[in-house]
Amino acid sequence: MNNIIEQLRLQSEAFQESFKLLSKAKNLEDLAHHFFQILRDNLQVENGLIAFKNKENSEWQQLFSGEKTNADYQHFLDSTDEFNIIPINDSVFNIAVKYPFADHSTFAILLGRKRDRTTFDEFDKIMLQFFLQQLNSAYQFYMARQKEKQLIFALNHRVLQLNSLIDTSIEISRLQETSQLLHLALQRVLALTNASKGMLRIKMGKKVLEKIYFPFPFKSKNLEQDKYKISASFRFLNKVYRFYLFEKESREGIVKFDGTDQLLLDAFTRQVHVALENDYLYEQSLEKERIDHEISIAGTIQKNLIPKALAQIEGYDQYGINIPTKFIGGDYYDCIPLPDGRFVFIMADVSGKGIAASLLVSTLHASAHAFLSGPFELESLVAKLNEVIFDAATIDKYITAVFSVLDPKKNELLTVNAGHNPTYILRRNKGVEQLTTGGIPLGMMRQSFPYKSSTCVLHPGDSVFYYTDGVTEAMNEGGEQYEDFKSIQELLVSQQSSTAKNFIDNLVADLNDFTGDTPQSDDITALYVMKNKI
Amino acid sequence: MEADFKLTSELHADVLVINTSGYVNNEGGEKIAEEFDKHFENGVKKVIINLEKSKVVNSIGISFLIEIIDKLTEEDGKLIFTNLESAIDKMLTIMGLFNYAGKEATVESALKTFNT
Repeated sequence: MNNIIEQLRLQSEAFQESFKLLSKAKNLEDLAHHFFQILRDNLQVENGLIAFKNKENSEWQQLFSGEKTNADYQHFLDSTDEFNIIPINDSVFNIAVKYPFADHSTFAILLGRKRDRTTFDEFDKIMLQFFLQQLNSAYQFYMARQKEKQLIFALNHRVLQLNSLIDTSIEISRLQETSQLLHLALQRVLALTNASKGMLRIKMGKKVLEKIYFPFPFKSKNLEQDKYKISASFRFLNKVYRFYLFEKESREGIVKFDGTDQLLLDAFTRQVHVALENDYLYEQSLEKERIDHEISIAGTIQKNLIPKALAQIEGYDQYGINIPTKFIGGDYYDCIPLPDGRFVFIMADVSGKGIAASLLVSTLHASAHAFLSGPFELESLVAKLNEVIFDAATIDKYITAVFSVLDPKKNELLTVNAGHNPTYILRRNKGVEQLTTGGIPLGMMRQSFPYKSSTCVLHPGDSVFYYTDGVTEAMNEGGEQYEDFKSIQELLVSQQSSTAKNFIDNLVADLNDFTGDTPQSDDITALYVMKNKI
Repeated sequence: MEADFKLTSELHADVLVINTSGYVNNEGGEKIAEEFDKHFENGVKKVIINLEKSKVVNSIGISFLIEIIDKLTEEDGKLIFTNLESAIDKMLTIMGLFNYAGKEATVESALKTFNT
């Protein structure tokens, strides 16, 4: 009785040990190897062969063989009954058993003779059944661990895909070089979908502009027929960017891409689209910044053309102002002393605003100064300026201007009005005269009718008022113009100014009262010249 | 088809250094595993994989690397990755490889780690 108990105890321990050993298996070969070790130790067998097939219809795979043999035991494996341990007639192996598992895989075991040369008895067969059940449990345990590993791997892979989607989005948004951006995006999406190769094709209309490949260039005919590919595209600046991914890899070979792969590719494609758009907008903003800077410089140059202080004229008081809008305007005024003691007043307004207007003001300024350096007739001078401006301007650009030559000794004022607002003379007795004699604006026609001049004499207490339409057309909140509210004649007559500066200051204050908070829409330029009272 | 992946290896005493170049995908991973197995069967248990010239790795490639780590761990061996680009570094971190493998900036520093 004690012997039986002892034998059972030993047997129980042997079962525990054998399960421990089987549970350590790292792979199926390992499992088979450990299983044969158990059978060799417990059944005293000399030799064995263990085969496996993972599905009913698949081929047998030899996992373990005690002796190197080329013998074909396929017929034994196929003919053996499931679960039944049967004797076989073979020079190496004595018994065989086929053991199917729940997942439709099957283990087949062929065992050679026992060391003591005895035949397998019923006890051996019962023991073998026990160990086969243990093999079953260990196999299920092994498969559960494998599935757990695969699940963790798959979950990690999903985390990786999401992470890479975010990282790549940040990374490509930092890249300035479009080509780098496209290469990086192709590499990333290829890696994350396990595609073996990829291509980005950029087309404009039917013309292929560029093809980018990874990992290496390959022939890409019959793209649309390839069933192992996915693609996604976007259109930007008349170009179509289409990403193609080919041949999803798996450990079992090439497989078809799944829905997640398409989602990832779509997401990457959107990111690239956004990155290209951002890059483009950034370039545009830089370009705008550059243009704004150029415009600002042009504005400064134009401002410098207007004298900061007017020349002193004996017996006269004069003051001018130019209040530019935030855009570059086209107003210009000047007071140029001549070598013979006379002075030339210029009040000009270029049609339109911006760089073109600024360039025309510069042309007028330079030409006027050049022509005035020698002897001149005012009418001829204006005609020459007309030709210069006509040659320099585009068809829609012209300049209205007034040119006056003041002889302070004779108090004579010679004036040519080239299509500009009238120049007003306010006589001491409050009488108001307009100077409109002249011709057409500068630059309108190359050969115009001859410019004509008018001459007047200024007496003590008389004043001359030059201005641009920024004064008369200044608008209030109701859209009314200053001129509708107060005519220049009324303005001149109503002013009781003791100095030219005082007149201009009052004019600006009056304009401000009228316009209120309405933004200034045009340059305001005015020049007031007073013949001193005796 | 032109192969993108290339591999060289050298033994520094008992340390195997595998230098890769190109896409570590199924093909690349398989080649690394084959090279590793060849030396592992001869008892090499210290391995450095230098990914300096590999800028892209996919998860199939990673599965081969995991197998190498598994085999080395069973035999008390160790794998160190070197010259990892930040994206690959992050990838291997997320996939959990650095729980069982090391990483160093260069092959030289990895060799020093093995020798100390």
